[in-house]
Amino acid sequence: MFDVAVVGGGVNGTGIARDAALRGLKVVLFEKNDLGSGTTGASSGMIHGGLRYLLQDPQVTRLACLDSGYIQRIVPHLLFRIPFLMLVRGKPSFYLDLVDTYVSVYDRFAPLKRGLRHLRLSRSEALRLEPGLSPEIQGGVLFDEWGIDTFRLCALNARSARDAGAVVRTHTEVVGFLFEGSSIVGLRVRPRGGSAQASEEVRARVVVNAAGPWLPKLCGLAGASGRIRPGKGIHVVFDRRLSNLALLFDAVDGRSIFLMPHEQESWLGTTDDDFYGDLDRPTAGRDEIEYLFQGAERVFPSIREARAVRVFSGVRPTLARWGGYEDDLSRDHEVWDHEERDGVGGFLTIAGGKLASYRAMSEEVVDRIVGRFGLAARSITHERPLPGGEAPAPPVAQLARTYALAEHTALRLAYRHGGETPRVLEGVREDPARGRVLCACEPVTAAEVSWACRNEWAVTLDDVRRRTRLGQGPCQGTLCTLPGAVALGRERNFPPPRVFVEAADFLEERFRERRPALRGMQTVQEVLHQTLHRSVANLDELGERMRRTGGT
Amino acid sequence: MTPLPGEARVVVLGGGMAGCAAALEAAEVLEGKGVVLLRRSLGATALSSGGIDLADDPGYARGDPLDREGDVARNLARLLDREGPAHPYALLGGGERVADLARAAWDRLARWTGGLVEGGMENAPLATSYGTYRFCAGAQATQRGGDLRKLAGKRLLVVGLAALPEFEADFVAQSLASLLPLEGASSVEVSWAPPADLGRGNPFEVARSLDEEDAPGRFAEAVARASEGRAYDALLLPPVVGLHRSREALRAISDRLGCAAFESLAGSPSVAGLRLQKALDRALEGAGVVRVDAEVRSLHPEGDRIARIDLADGRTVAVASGGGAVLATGGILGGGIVHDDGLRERLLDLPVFSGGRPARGLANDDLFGTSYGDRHPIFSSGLLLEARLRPSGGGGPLFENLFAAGDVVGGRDTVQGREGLGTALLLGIASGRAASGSGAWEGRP
Repeated sequence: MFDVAVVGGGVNGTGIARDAALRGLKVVLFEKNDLGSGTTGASSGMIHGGLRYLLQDPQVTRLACLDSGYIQRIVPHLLFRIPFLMLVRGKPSFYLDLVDTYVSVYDRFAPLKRGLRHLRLSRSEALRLEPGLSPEIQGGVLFDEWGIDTFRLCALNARSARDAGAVVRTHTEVVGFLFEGSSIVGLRVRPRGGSAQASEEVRARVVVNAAGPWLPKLCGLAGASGRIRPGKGIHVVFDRRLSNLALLFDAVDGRSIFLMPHEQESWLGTTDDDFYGDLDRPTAGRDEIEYLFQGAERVFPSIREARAVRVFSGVRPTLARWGGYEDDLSRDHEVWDHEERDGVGGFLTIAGGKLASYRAMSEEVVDRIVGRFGLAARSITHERPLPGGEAPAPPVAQLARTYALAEHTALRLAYRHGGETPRVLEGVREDPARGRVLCACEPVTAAEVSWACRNEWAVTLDDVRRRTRLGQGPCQGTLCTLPGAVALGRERNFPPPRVFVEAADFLEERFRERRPALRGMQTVQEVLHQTLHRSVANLDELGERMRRTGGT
Repeated sequence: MTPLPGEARVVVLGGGMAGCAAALEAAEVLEGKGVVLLRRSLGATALSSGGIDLADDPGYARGDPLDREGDVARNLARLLDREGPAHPYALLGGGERVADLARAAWDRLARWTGGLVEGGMENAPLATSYGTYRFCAGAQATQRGGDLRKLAGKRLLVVGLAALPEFEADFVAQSLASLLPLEGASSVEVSWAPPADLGRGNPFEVARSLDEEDAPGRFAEAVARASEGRAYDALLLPPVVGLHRSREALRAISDRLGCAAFESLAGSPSVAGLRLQKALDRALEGAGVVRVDAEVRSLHPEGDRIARIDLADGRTVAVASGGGAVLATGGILGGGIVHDDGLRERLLDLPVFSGGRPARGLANDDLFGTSYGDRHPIFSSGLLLEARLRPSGGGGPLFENLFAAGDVVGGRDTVQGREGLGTALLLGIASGRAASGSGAWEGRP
């Protein structure tokens, strides 16, 4: 019997599980796919203060800034500073003054998130900093935001929850609820894709619906009401950092969009469109991509020469409102107690919100739960570090020397694992094969793949990608898919045919993000990718054959 | 810089399998005179695995892996039944004529490459560097010895090199043992490193290190030491046994250890691909073909013929009257076809077709299926040829003396199909003859 069953392994679900477990509750979390594989992993990856919401939802801005500061405190290694340059083009000459003033107000929130005060840049100053900008710009205003690896943020919250006693079950789907009278007293779950016979019952005093855009479906299963206004957003990912500063500019309809360096890439985003399609497989269309390119080329003319490697798409669980354009909808969040709303007891839903305020939202949900249980335990998630955040990683040069790694490899590893880096590299000195780089683009070592399998719930090769970024770089898995599958197979004792099935599944899954971006040199890469796997390694034949026989 | 003659009978654009075959065939017809080959860079041939396909059993994914139609002539006929008249093999005259051409092509390729490549009319399953197998009609002699059917009931030893961790010998051994009826498969790792540690992880440096006079012997000693007490009937090595002297090196290893030895098909990067390219380059030199490594800027028509070709460096070569040009610039991988706003042909902007319709302006939804494993229309897109192998817009030739060969030609799937480099070889030979004015292999009877 659990106190709390959380449904959804995104940043809210894992955040709630952590908060509840740290307050001494018995927690179980179910995620039907993988941690962060839905909305969280498809977000802009920013712990930002919400400058956009300053006029409309100042409370969203304040909360986001405050919590941005907390998140930096608990997981410093995973955040990176992104200076944003808000550009002015084609506007009356006083417009730069206007933006300058607007951002001055934002300066009041900046210290909360350890941001520097804004800076006004003239046209020539901006061009000096970013030579790729169009000479047509009039200038801009520079301010600080922060980026984060969202997949790892979810995995670390889940790890912290587990360390505090929580049970985390990924690839496990909720298929029904257990009732006593009109109150929910548990869940029926089964392995994803498993048979009805494989289902099991799990009892819990409270069920929290943190299923993001899937939340209406779960409410439906529970006989409760749950309406959101799902909004799809896409990001075009380039093979390298195209600019040093994140550039913020207008799209044709006046919406603010950006071209932003993120880790080793640049991201062009984002859109916000009401979404009615398949939540499990949102894909980007040509019109959405063109909308972003058209906006970007106005301030960054060479954007069409750049090499886009993939386009990722996600769906926001925005709070429902009839009327109003997508962009005008509130980014605020709500916690629904379905006992009050629908007379369904033991069932809470968290809807809406922003990545940057996940921790505060989780705290609010768990406050409700402990209140209901008559407990007084307070949240400590704003000060207790996440795994790896307790201490800084050893210096990169020292890591490289000690474990015979390239400095770049050590640098990326230290970014992803912070103070835990030496634990990830355990055994590498004794067995150099564990230090072998499997994915040269990112780069990812065999030791990190083992770590993800043993400590971070990586079950499939795509799970490994989310934990480590294997296959995420410019070659998009051309050279690391099979070595990655072999390493996964070694870790999980798969017979060789199962290794080929894992590789074939990964190839199939990843193509969905690459397909809309294919053009120019990236199509050349795709030909090499497919020739190597389908023709040379013969996976067209073997993957199909193995799948038929269940990989045994 | 190689001097460029002012005029040539045959000018070949592109120096991969198709371009080299066209130039070499033309040089045979013209007795080594007046053939020029222009090459921008290495392309898909230099990246190839060493295996060369002609036609596989179209139903290969069904049934027992090793029990399939291996006869290339029969597979050619079945393939043409399925693919219809748009397939390049149909242009070459259909099943029986293509089989005849293929037999002649294997003889030529063996001669041109000095025995590096062997091929025949029977597909054989060869081991890949990924621990899988694939059926090929031809391969490098060092690879083709490893017909996996002949290993049934035998013990295989897979040799890994510490310097080449991407060849995972233990996995390859395990996997082959699970896929094939072997008596057993085991692996050893040899700590063979090129001098001065130049080549950790660089297969080309490892291969070069095995070209040295006494290197194969020392390598064999290392294998013997590492496998002491182990019984095995055959050795599988990664495809890095020598860059220029692979057959001698492999023979020395095999002799020293007293058992059969062979190399796997290569992944990427590919030493086997570079070997093939270098062997073709040597053949060009031996045949008197003038090879110029330079970028072509433009082709100049005069009336209905290509009269002159300009290089980016300002030099120029005229196509003699009665002579021809062969476009063998490659597909998407080689750079002959460019994907931007739909597909276009890079040098002359010739019309490119995808599934029978013009590919200019086609969106990704038209060029790609939705699943990775689909037959993506883009991979069979390319030029449409008329009966004498000249690019056309659907009717007659666009230019009277412009021919095309290799992956720039559409009509067969270069990724999913199993006709691979073989099509390039056959089209190359046929277009080389056509461009030099010889009558044979010109098309439908």
